[in-house]
Amino acid sequence: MPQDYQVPEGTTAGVGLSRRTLLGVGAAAGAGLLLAGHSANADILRSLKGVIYLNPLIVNFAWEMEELESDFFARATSSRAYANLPLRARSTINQIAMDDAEHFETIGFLREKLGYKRANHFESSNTSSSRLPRFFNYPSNAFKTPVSLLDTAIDIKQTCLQAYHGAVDLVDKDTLRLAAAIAGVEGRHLAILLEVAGKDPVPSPFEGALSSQKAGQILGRYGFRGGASGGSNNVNR
Amino acid sequence: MSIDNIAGLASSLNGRLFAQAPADNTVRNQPADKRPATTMPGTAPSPDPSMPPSSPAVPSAATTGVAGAVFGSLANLGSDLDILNFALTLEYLEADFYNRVVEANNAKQYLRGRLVDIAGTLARDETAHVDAILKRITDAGGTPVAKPMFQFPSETFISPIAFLSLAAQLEGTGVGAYLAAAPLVQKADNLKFAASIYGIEARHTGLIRFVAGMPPVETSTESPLSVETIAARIQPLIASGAPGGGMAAM
Repeated sequence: MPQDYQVPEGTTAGVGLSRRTLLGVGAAAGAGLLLAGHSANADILRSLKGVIYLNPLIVNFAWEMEELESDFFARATSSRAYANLPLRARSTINQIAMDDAEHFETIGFLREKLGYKRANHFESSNTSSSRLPRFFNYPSNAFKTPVSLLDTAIDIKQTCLQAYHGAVDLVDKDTLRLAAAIAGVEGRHLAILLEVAGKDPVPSPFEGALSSQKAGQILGRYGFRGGASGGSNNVNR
Repeated sequence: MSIDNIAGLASSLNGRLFAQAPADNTVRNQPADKRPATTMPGTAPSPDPSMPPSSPAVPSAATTGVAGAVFGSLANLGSDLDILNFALTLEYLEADFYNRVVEANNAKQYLRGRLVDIAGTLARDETAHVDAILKRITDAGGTPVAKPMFQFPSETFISPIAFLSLAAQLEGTGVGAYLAAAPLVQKADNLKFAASIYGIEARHTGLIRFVAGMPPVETSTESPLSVETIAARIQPLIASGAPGGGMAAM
């Protein structure tokens, strides 16, 4: 029977989180608590559509996840670690970067269509610039070696994928269609990253799921704020 | 249920399955149904003379005949039990195929290295899916659909490339089927259950395509498949009913 993955407990100690990041994690945790508390009554919840409205929270959460992924993989393609990867692995990371950028754009359109918040133009960070991320933070060694690059990629990808699965019963049908269409590709991404890294690409017959609270805690180490700000906090947006 | 009713149900079901037309009509973003076939050159399994010819371009054929008998009664996906039985049929197919591959490889060692592990993983996973869906259906008081007799091209049991080619198609079909059915699921726990299987089918698809040297991801989002398309893909793999006949025998 399906069982949630036992994702290693994320630690924030030693990462030196800024106050803004801590507030973001807190906001994500708050939103996550709301979501976790209602997940046990999802059927009732859906019948109260219009009274309790979780779609904006979840869509914004997903939007920021895709922003994090597209940012990470775009930066990966210009890293030293990337240059030391085999050709097939480099092609994989390139493809993932493009896919996640499209996911970010697609969810942005959804947000705009649903009237959550006007979607702002996304500026690709897929450049050879060596500047530090303006919004997301990565471990200092994330882009230094192929192993660390792949480990970080897998951590981010798995968390985002399982956050999608954790929210399947908390969104309306239209959002579900899009989210599921994206989550399928995220699953493909994760499998091939694990394969490239020499790890088991499918350790369980059933996909794991994470609450947004748990996903937010894990991704918080990368500067993720859980979409509480309505999306990116990039000053250019 | 008459042949006309089956075709009509499939047609009306398509309207329910697809929320909207694709926004981008380029090939990359077309629904999987409409995209040109993407099989590896020279690796498409040769049709066995004993197998009935497949007619994927003829929806009425896909929803009649043996596939129609299997899928016709399931085309009316009006309840979660209907959807679970639809999924069960696909999982029966996949599990049967991969278990046969493992058996064939045990006898002939035609797979090497990673492919041995991958075939074993796929067999494990699809068997687990069958077991889990069976349990869910029976726990809900439903009657699981009977397992059809399947037949597979003989090349898939002697050629690693043929195995991977068919595996990629089966997994991709599973992904498209689950994606199409997801919005129709009514109960939250059934939706989460189906999603947990869908996620693994997607991992399988990416993995198989990757090790086969194919692009692991065709488009940035998965596409749902119509019942007609699924039935058309599956029809050649459903035996006429004679146990151990034709390709089904090993």
